[in-house]
Amino acid sequence: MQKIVDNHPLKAFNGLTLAIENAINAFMTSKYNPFYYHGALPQYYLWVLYLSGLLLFAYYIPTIDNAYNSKLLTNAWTSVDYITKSLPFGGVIRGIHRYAGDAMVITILLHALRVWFTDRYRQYRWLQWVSGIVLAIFVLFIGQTGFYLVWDDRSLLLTRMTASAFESLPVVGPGLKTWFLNGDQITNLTLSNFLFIHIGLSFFLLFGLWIHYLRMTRPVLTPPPAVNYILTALVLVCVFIWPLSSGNMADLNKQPVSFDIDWFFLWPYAMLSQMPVMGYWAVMILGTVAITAAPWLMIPKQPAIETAEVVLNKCTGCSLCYKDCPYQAIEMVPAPAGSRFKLLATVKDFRCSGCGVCVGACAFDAIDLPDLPDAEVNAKIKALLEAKG
Amino acid sequence: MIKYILSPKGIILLAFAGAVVAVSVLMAWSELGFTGATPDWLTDLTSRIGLHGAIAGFFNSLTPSLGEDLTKYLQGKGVSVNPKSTASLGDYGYILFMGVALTIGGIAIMIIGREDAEEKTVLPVKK
Amino acid sequence: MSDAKKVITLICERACDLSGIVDDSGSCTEVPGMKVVKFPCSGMIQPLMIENAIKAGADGVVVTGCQIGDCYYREGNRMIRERLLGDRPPTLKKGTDRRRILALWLAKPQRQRFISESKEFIATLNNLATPEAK
Repeated sequence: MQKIVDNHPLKAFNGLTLAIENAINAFMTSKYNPFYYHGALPQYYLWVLYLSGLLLFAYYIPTIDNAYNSKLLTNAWTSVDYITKSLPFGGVIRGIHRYAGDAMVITILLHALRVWFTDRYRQYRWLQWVSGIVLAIFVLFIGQTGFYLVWDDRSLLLTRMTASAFESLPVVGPGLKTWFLNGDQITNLTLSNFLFIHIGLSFFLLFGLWIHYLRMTRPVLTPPPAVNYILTALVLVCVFIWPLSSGNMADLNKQPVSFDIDWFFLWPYAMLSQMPVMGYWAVMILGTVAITAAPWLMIPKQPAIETAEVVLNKCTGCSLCYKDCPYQAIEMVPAPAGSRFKLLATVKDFRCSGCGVCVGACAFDAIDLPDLPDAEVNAKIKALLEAKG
Repeated sequence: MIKYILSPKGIILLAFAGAVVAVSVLMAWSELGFTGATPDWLTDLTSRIGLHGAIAGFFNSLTPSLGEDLTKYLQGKGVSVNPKSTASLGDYGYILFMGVALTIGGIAIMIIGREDAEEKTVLPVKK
Repeated sequence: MSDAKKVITLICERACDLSGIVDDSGSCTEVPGMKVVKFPCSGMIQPLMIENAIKAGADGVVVTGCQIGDCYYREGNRMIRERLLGDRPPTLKKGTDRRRILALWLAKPQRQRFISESKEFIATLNNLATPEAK
């Protein structure tokens, strides 16, 4: 079994998280407590983003060409302008796409903080933590490309900042810049590349999520409908309160100097504008490495997990523990020759959390936690009942 | 059934249902850019059940007050629409009222559904 | 109250926090007659253990796990709840007196709720007639 770790640096936050959730339970009940669906919240917003993005994609034109500067010309900026001002519900759909993205970042942050504070990110969960970091970085980058696609002043400035930040990296820098701009400078092809990154990486998220859900038996993928209604409503109300509008069309001959910051996606640019570029990369890379390594670094001495053990001569191969294991740590293998049964349960130690659900699932006492065998539990129950007092 | 509707909870839920319907009517009103005109589908529907006067009157009564406020707010936020297109400022009102309706509906479902949530399981006695 | 009812609680160590009200011998100081056995997760509790406890002379068994939806190990409390309700194997045997079993799903800060529910449960046990013949 896994011991409750007392030297966890975030122990105080665990109590705080549980206290907040307890307060929410008081009026929303555990059935609708959004914290109990914290992983499903960003997943829900991802579906909203796919759907609204599909509608925007139908009208978006990924070129920067404004050589004639005519109103009839269609480029990225004018197509976004058309979507926003002329298409029925276009501005609203654009708003939904934007604010669902912001909401996704917020919910991802909540999800990460909760698993961190409640100590649910290390040991047998390391794959979830690391894949989650990778997913979060991709979400950030996908969101940023969304800001380039609008192709207003801000997009141009962000594109230039990104290109020069890439360029300053040693060895890979020039290559990255060429990949990013799809050439040596900003051309029509640049926006094609941005659109490809924006949409292509979005679908890559599904692959990342597959890894994120690996080893999770029956992952919670969607909150109850009533919670979904509220999640949707939050985005819709934001669309009304802060309606979107583009800045001026980007002009390659001018250098915009300032822009409004979207603090959910564009905070790296705020950092980049305040510090030398190599310092920026150092902070970003070291920060990412440190957070990724948190499952190993946060607690100096992590007690090893006492993994479940199958009692070979008792296992009947009934598969109940295999079905109930929440981490897919039990595999049914063919029983050795001479056995009365066809299958035998085996424990994959590296996946086992030592929670004991398999013990509860076994009607034959055939699986045990070595530090708390069920015979011992039964003896303890008996002893307690016989004791006076 | 009738007993349930007349219980305090039933009355609250009826109020919620009424609120969702009322806000949903506001969606139709917004869709036309906060004007007093009713959309054709609604004119047809309400004429059949003899409610058209009430709905049209409701729409008309909102237009000078709420309609102007919403328009002013959106224009103040820099929203503009192409007058040659079928887009309208009302799109934003539509989405606002849809959000409000979803919130009310979500809360109502939570009120009904919270009964199933449990902090305690008493096992049914088998005969 | 010639002799207090003997009640045993099988509790997840991450569910409602009983530290401080359980003495070294495993008795709960706040609820007379209550004995406490801790588990890493309520999902580890076998229906067989509950039956054994009743057979060994317990008047009642309280199963305590975390709030449904918040299992540290993801699904343990749902599993034992389904087992108690007979929806997931292994289940309780047919003859087990289900009036003597209570399940509570309480988060760490809900100690008071645990105490009041246990006392109420013991009161209902007092009202039960002698253990059913079968």
